[in-house]
Amino acid sequence: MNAESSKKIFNSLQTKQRANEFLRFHNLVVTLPHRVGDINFEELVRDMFKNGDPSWLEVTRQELPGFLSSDVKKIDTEVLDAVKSMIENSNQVKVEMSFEPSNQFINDFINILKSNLKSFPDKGFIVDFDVISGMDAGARFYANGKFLDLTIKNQVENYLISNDVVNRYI
Amino acid sequence: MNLKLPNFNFDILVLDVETFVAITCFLVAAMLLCYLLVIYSPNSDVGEGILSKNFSNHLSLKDKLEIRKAKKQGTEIKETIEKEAYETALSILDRARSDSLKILGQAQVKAQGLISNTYVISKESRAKLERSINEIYEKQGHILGNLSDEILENYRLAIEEGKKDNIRTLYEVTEAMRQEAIQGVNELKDVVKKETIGAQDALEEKITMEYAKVDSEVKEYKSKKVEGLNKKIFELLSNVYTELMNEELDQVKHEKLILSLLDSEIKKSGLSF
Repeated sequence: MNAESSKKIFNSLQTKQRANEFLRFHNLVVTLPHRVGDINFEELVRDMFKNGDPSWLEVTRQELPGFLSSDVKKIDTEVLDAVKSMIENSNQVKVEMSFEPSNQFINDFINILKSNLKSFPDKGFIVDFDVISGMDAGARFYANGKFLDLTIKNQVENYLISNDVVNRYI
Repeated sequence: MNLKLPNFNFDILVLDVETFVAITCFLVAAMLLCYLLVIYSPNSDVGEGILSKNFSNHLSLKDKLEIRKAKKQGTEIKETIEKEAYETALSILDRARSDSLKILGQAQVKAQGLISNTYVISKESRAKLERSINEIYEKQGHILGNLSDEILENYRLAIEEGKKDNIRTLYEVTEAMRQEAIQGVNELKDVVKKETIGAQDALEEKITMEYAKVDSEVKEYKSKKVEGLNKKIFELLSNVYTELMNEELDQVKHEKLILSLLDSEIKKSGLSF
């Protein structure tokens, strides 16, 4: 049950930005026992995510019921620790693109990675989406020291070269 | 051929008359003088003075005075004798001079006779000698003439033989030189041919190498140029396409395109973790 909860929470993270948010949250949870005086955990969380609760926090609430409304239990902390550990051991992938990706795009992206890269099925993927305005259409993909140029320009050039367009048609 | 042998004159030693007379006079005078000196020499009795000196040491004064007186008388006698001897010598010298003059006269006469005889003998001898010499001359001339003819003949034959030898040698030398020259020319021709062929090969090789080098450079340049041109064309085309695509792409299409590319590229490249 705990492992499944940890996996669900981790799968809800998907991006590096969310993973960093989770790590800050985890740090807050870990330091709660050491705080002095009356502590309102809900307030602390609201202070941390002023722009609204992230999507993974909702998953966490679902997987750990009563976690934010009552005292922090040890078992809940263990789930969060497991998620942290999964983040640290995950496959890190970086993508450069010219727009902010939608959640659907992120989901599809992760699914493509999972379906094609099955060397370590236990490991999840954390994708770092780097938005570069003015970049060519398409994306640049970096993973495990390797690079894939997925820009349309590169694809067109490769197509022209591979089909010897210049010699054949020009 | 007339060869003339040298004429040898045997000079006869002829005693000059004046020299003969002078030598005779001198000899006679010298003999007389020696004779006189031996006869009248005051030291003829050697050792007399020494004896008298030893003897006088044992004599008395009276004896000594008598001796001195006797010595004085002896001295006077001696002087007288010397004077007489001198005069005698002079007379002898005069007589010797007159004798020598006589002898000289006779010697001159004899010498004249001897000289005239000698002259006669030498004249005859000379004539005889000349005759002998002439005979020898003639004989020698004849012999030499024969010899010279033989020598000439031999010389002519030798020259002819030498000439033939020389001609033969010259012909052989010429032939050898000709062969050597032909061989040299052939060798030179071969060497020149080899060198020319070698140089030609080297030149061809160099030209081929240079051509290959230039060809490779041209090809390299051409490929670079073509590559650059292609790149520019690709850029141009892709830019055009991208511009067109950007105008056409909305986010949904864009996302679908990226996902499609990702899926195909991962499969194509075999990307793995």
